[in-house]
This record gives sequence, structure tokens and C-alpha cells, in this order.
Amino acid sequence: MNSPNNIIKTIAPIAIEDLKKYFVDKSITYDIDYTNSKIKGTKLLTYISNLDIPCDISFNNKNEKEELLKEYLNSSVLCTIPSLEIQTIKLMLEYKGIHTERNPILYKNFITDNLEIIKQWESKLDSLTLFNMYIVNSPEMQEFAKGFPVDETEELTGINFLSLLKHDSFFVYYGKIKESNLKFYTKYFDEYMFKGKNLYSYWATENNPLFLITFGISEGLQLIENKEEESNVAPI
Amino acid sequence: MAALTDPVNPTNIVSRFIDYVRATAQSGVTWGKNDLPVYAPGTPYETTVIPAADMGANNNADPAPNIFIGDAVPGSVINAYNIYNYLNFFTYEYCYIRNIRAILTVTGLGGNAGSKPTAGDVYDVTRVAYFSNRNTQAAIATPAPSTGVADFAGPAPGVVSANQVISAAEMENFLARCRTSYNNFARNQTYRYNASVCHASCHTSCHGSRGRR
Repeated sequence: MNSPNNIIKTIAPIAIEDLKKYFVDKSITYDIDYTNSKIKGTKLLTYISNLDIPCDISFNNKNEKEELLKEYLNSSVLCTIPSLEIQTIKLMLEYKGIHTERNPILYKNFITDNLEIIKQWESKLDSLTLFNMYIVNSPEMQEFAKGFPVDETEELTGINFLSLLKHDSFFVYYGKIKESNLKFYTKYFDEYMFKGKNLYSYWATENNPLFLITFGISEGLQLIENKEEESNVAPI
Repeated sequence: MAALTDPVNPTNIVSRFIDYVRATAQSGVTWGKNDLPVYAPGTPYETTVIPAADMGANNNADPAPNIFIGDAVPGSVINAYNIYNYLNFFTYEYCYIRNIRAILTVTGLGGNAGSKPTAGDVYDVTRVAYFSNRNTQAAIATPAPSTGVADFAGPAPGVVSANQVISAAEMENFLARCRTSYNNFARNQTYRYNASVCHASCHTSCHGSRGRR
């Protein structure tokens, strides 16, 4: 976790003097003040994607947050912005009707206003369950996955669906899949089209329980040795 | 105990999944919101090691009370997709019930009258708990991105090929793998929850109350 000393509060574009600090100390992260930034919307997302440095964005009001969320959903550049990722997870869970104490209804109007792009995200995210079958090294499984409607799009709009996959909290989403949404995205599933990486690089991570359980199931009946996870320090 | 018919049907599969995974997950659960690990209960030094907020539910609760396979209802056609993905998902749901090692560490000098005389771990107990997260991290080494997942030996092709009949034997094999996966993630790896206090005679309001004295 970063201490406050490692977080540089800034606007975009980030001053060169502040940028240089990251290249000296890789623990530095940036907290971009959206309200006062000189570049906003799509340009800001492109700027962050190109810089490829650890940063997040702070908002002063809901309108600004939703303005950038809309751009984020429609963006074709892959970027890492934790606050937008968490918002998008909440949005997609709400859209799927998965409400919890931690995920109250917040985006009703936003969903209505942006339904088309949200449905595109839904199709891609739902279809990752097909990808999860496709990656199993079994010709029968792969043929089965290919038996669903094929979509050969190379369109990258909504590419940041990949950014949700690093959050363990997202995967409750997969309790509400619509089979009618499933498509076999040939290009997405097979090509190295995401910043030079393939989809497997984003799906097959230790944060993805569905992948891990798939791996566990495919491994068979071999029990692992008892092991202990890293300590969770909880001061009282 | 449910028996699988051959060919199997959705209700049948869910019933058998309950035998395999739910029964395994819900056995031997000690801690939950209704039964917390407590150091020195009934003494002035009583300390709850894992607070209720970090437990998911009571120790007899069910993380997945309504198991279903896709849109399938009794009598309808099911396929490899909805069996595979939904049983995978519900196996994940049961990972809330997991092995937890609760440790209470005295970080100060100790030596308070009537308390543990030395600093260190004064409580170190491992039990199964209904915990607040299903963290499956570090359960297995993530395979390299360049390779596919290891051979999926079960269910055999009958389950995963369109228009083929699922056999009971293949389904039993798959369910056994789900159970093994649950055990590997939630029981054979222990999540260490380490709480600390400044000295053993402290309880949670120690420094706050000291400030008011």
C-alpha cells in the first residue's frame, strides 16, 4: 500500500518535474484532480494509457465522474484507473441485478442513458465464460465453444472490460450470465491484440477465481499440500 | 444422498453437487458472525481476534442456497456450457467457507499484571470459518500465459460435445473434481488473519480510554 508520501496529487497533464519522480522512485503514484485538469474525457484516457504510469483520478462531483465513466466505457484505449474500474464493476453488477449492501443502486439513470454500450460490455464479459472453456486443452471443449455464434470483430471500443478482470470482487458477476449473449469472439480469443498481449494474459491471473477453479478442475483429483496465504495484518 | 440417473438431468446434477461440494464445504465450520474467535473470554483482557465485520455470515449459513444450472429447469435440455460454468461458479461461492488461522499478537513489552507476561502470539488457533471473502489467490501457481490449461480429462467428451448424452459416471468424475478444487482452495490453504494489540492487557478501547483518564 502506498503511504501518502508516495502519492503525488496533480492535474493532467502532469508536470515534468513530478513525472521524473516516478522514474527515480517506482513506488510513486499519481492522484489526478479531474476538475482542475486541463485535459479531460477521451484525451485524458489516451494520455494516461500512453504514459502507462500508476495513477488514479479524483472527482469533485457525480457529474464529472459519470462524464468520464461514459468516455471510459466507450474508449478504445486500454488504461489502468482503479476508481473507474471499481465504478464500472458496480455499474455492471447493478445492470445484472446483483445488489448487495456494498453495491446499492446508484446508476439507474446512467444505465438507461448508456444502454447500448453497456450491452456491448455485457456481451463481451458474458462471453468470457466461453473463453474459459476454450482455453482448456481439450479439442472437444474448444469445438463446443466454437459452436456458439461467431463474432469476428476487431473493434476495440469497450476494451477496458479487460481491466475489470484483475479485481476479485468483479467475479460475482458470473452468477448472472445470459446464454443468449454468448458469442465466440474469434479475434479477441485468439489474437495478441491487447497492447501486444492476448486475452489469456488478462484472464489467467491469480485474481480470477473462475480461471483458478477451472484450472483446479482440469488438474483432476490431486489435492495440494496444505499451505498458508500471506498474513492479513489487522491491528486492533 | 442423491443418485445420478443415466442420462442425468438438471435437478439430479444440482442434488449431487450438493452432496459433493456443499456437504464438504459445510462440514466442520466453527467460526462465523455468531461464533467469533476470542482471546481470554470472560476476563478483563477479552479480545475478539476476528471481528464480526470480517466474517461473512453465521457458521451454519449457506453461501449458495439456490444452486441452479443456467436457465435449465427440470425436464429442459442442459448443455456443457451451463453445467460447466455454473458448477464452476457455485464451487467458487463455497470458497467463503475456508480454513482460517487467527493470531493475536502482543506487539509491546507485555508484563502487565494479570496478563500474559511476555509479548508475542497469545492466541493462535486454526478453524474453518464462514469468512468475508473467497480469496483464492496463491492457491495454485498460475500457468504461463503461452500455454493452455492442462488437459481437461473430465467430464469426458460426452459432456462437452453438442447433442451427446451425459453419462452419470462422467458427471460423478466432474463433481469430484469440483470438490477437490474446493478443498484445494478453501481447506488445504489456510488464510492467516493476524490481529495485534500493543500489550496483552489491552483491549480494543485501551488507548482511547487512556486518553480520557
